[in-house]
Amino acid sequence: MAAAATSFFTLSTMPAGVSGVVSHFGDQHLAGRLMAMGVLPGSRVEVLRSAPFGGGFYVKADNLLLALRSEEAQSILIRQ
Amino acid sequence: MSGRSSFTIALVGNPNCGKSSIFNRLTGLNQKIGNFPGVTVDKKQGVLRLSPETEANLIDFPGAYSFYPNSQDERIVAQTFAQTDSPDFPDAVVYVADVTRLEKHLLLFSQIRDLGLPVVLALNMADVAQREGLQVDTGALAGFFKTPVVLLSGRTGAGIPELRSALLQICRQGQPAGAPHHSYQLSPQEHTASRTVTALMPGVSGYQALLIAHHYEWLPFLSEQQREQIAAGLGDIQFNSVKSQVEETLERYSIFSQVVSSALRRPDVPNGRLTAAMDRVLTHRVAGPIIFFALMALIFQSIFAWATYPMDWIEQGFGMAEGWLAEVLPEGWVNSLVTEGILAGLGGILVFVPQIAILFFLISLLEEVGYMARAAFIFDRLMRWFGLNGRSIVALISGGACAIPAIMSTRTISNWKERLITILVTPFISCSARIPVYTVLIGFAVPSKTMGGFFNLQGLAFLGLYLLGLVAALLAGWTLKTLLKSKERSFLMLELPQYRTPVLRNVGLTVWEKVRAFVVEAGTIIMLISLILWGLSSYGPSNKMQLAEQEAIELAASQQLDETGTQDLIAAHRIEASWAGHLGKWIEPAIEPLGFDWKIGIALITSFAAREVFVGTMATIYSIGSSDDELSVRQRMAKEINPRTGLPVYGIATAFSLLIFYVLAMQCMSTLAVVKRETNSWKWPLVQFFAMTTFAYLASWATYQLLS
Repeated sequence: MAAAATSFFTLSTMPAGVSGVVSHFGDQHLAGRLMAMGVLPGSRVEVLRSAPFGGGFYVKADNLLLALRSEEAQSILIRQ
Repeated sequence: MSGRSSFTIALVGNPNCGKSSIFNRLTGLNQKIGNFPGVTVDKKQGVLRLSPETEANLIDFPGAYSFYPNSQDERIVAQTFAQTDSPDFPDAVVYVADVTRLEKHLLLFSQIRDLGLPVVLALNMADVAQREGLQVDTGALAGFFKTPVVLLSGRTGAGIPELRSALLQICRQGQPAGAPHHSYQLSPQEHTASRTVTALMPGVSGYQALLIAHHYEWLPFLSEQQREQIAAGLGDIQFNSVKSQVEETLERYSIFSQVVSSALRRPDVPNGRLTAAMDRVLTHRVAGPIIFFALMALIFQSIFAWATYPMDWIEQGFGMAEGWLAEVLPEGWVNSLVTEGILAGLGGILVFVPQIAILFFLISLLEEVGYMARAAFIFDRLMRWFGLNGRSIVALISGGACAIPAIMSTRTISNWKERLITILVTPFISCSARIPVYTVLIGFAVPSKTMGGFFNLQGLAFLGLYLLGLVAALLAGWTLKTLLKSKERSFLMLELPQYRTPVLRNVGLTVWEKVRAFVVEAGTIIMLISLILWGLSSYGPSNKMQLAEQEAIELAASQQLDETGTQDLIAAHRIEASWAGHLGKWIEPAIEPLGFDWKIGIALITSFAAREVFVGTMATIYSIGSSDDELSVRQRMAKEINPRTGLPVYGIATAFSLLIFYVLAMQCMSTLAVVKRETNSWKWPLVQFFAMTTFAYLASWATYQLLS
């Protein structure tokens, strides 16, 4: 799934309030569960805020609101 | 199917689809709650009467996103549907989907549809859809999926009659003819995998065989031999389970997403503004935790404030009943068994009901509103340091009122290891039953002085005991995290539902269920142990009890005691001569290094009924049984002198040692009974009992040796 021309970055590095589109996933186990919940390649995602004690993010994916741990957010790759 | 009059219908859907509201609508109070075989996952069942001659058993399955499970709850769904001869395998399915998130909620539906089972697609939250101006073309969906589609609302009850008639029809006639337009086509490798399984297990359908190929490692209905054969067969074709699951999921979404987007007409106005605004505050970095603790303080306070009255009524009611029956029944062992054994045991069970009811009323209110998922999000990182889960914070805090409802509330933690650790460490949190013990003992340990004009030393000591319990719980959690091994991956990945006004019917039914489960299941164990405790304190070896009584009467006569004084003295002598008294004396050598004598030993044993019994037992032993309030017990204990040293028995060292023991030891049979129920084995309550009590012993020993 590697792409030559476009660059990717993970959801966990996105600044709050900026939205992007999911390209693919870095971890297949997490991918399976994220997709089952409705986070798919092509979904529009946005970090709304990070967790009060760190270690996690409050994320909006299409019309879903999700709480993700850091490693879960890291597995979501965003298309620039 | 038309020849039968009784069916099994499964209620399935994603978490947060509003399934339980529909279940409650369909069954009302006609439901019972148990466990799925072998695991402590709630299994709610109810009788659903569809017509005078058609009755169905409705099973509410745990919420699941797909047949590829990530938690114990989700596994139940996959394993039941993968095994056609499972006792819970349904004849028909009601699949509940949130219509406002329909494009996200159909994955599991499309998987179930491929099993060939008759399914009714129930589109829930019709009321919300209407408010938001969302329009649904149910006909288009029904035509595409070849299945009845009903638009309904568990909240308002709209559409429920239509669901019932769709179910009745499907039970009578089976699925409308025709497979769905585009069912999922297995890839060549999946085909081979599926055939490998069907060759070994004739009778399973193609998609079922694929599920078995994915899950053969843990599916409980397979034999060791089958497991080995499947593993060998799949190894030959290099079946990549994870990759295939991901590809199947993507493929399924692409099959139904188009029809869903053409069947739904959304208005351009964005919705969910209220939730966004509320979460800006409620999950805020600073305000979030503060609001959470304020809410918990409120809950805590209400448990204390409101539960006191019904608890007092229950205690007084049972006291009166005991007194009345003691008069009415002929004197003898039957009288004592009924009043001091059975009635006291029953009272001991029922006295917890107000706390359980109030806690679950408030917690399920917060759960219904959608707040609990936010709490889990806020505290996840903090709790994970200690092997716990964001949701554990609720159990830890409610443990300050009573460990029993707190442990019962851990069912929402889906990771088994995190749930187990929460169950094991919660009893370290100082519960309300410890307060009377602390009140009596703290006076011996700490002088009542004020420091710096503000801090009362005894108050500070009280706070210290609470903190000690909390620290012990967190340390134990951290230790267990490193000790317990688990292959199960831990996730947060939690959906934060839109805030909604709670449905009081759901809250009420949760309270009812929790109270009933406690009284019926844990209650039997508590009853048994209280009968044993009754036997221990009312009987003694051969005729020693009578001798002791005789002695007490003579002694009372020589001291010219009044009626109450005589009765108190008899009670004191009787408990000393009883098995409990003997046990107390027998364990005295073991507890002497902690600074305890046999009298404290007896109190430790009877405390097992509930920690606050310590005060009453002390009153009986020191023959002031008729006035067992904390103040008089403390005054009487202060007078006690150790015959060998000539010093007060309850010096600073003994008092501190005993306090530490009460903070840390596992002394509550009711909690153990609940842990047995929640972990489904005697192993964990026993581990908990011995580990906590050993820890308490060592800590008390160190305290006593340091201070004396």
